[in-house]
Amino acid sequence: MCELLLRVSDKINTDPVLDSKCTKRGDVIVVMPDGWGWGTEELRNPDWRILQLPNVTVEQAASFLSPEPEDNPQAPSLVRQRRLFKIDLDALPPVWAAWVTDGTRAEPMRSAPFTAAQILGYRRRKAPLANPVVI
Amino acid sequence: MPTTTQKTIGTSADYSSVQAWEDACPANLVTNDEIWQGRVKNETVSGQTIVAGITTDATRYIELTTDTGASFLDNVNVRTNALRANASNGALLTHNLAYENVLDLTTTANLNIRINKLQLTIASGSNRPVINTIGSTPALILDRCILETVGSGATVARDGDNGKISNCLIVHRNATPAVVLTLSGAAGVYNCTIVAANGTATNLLSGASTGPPIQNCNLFNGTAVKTGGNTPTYTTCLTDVASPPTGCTTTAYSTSSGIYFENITDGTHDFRIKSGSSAIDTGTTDATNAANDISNLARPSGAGYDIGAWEFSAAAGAALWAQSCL
Repeated sequence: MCELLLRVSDKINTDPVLDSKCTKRGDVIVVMPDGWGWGTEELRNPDWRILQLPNVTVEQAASFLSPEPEDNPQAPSLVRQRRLFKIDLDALPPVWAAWVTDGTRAEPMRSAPFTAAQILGYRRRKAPLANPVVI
Repeated sequence: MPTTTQKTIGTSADYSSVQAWEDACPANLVTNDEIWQGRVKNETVSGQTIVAGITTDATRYIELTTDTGASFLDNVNVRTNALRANASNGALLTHNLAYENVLDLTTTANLNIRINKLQLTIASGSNRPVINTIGSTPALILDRCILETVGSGATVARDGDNGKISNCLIVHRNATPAVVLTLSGAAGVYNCTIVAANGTATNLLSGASTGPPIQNCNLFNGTAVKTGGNTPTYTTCLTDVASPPTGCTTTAYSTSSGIYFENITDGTHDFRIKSGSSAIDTGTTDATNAANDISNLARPSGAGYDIGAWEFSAAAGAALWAQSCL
């Protein structure tokens, strides 16, 4: 019932503050309803995969888009991350490993029979980043 | 000379969403010597987009615009179409989710981004601005866009913004008191039409840590021209607010006197000016910021620059009158 555009390799900015705003391996970029008409670049970008989840609704997958919350508004973190959660790609069943690592994207989309509970079982909360030291 | 990388956004395009296009942007446009340009096709693209984590400067920046022929100002009837957001007229970015912006620019400091020729709307529900830069210091350059919200947030909220807004229609349509445009930094506003179309105790402008220039702007149907912060430098602006600040002149918000808008009824509003308007030929000449109006008509189209986003054209009006008589 939904499809995820998933990042499988880190986007990196050498500035640590900006880097915290970049999506990382396992982050979901967008969640779309199934049957979505993906763009040509979305189907071939080696840093992305499209994970089709016919048993998961858009609403059930929405938590993957949540930003890291601001825990202390009095001293806001400079490195609050764009995503609070990621999918632990390394924890997926072994059959998924080749698909995740295939940068040629021979199979740009793959359908997974996961239930909502199963895909949320691969959800990991990211550790907060330490504020960079300013000299 | 930076390389401009053009990518289309929409159906059967390079990217199906603005967010995916943003995520594909290189993390450092400066070292890449690159401009990352997204071109929205002539359709409605829904969803919030966060733009963040990208190194830019004044010449290597992010640009969100329309594909060839896809803008409302490319529409063959641009001079006769009502001046308001209308998906039928060209590319439009929108959403109707609570607590979200159409464009969220809040998390990256010093972001250089240009947005032009687009319509951006919040269709319902959200209490957030259409474009939000609060908490960051972007150089947002916004030109020839239509921005409207029926949500309860400001239409555009800026904070520490070093860019400028020019030739835009900015409309707030919610009954909840709010602000149409939040100002800050040194960012100027040139030849814009800014209206609280619902007319419910909404201030037209707010904020501003310094005194940015507000020039050739129409500021109508609000409770006050501005609330809070320092006083901007107003130059040749029009408003219906009584006792306006220096640089603003009071004129009626009407379709038959004063500003002579085409239609001021919320929902069917049309903020083109018509013959007799006090905005015609009374603006300050400014080829830098307002060489073309929101319909891409070259200014001036008469003895001088008109005030607001729309430049009245007597020739076009005469041609239309003649056409209507046939």
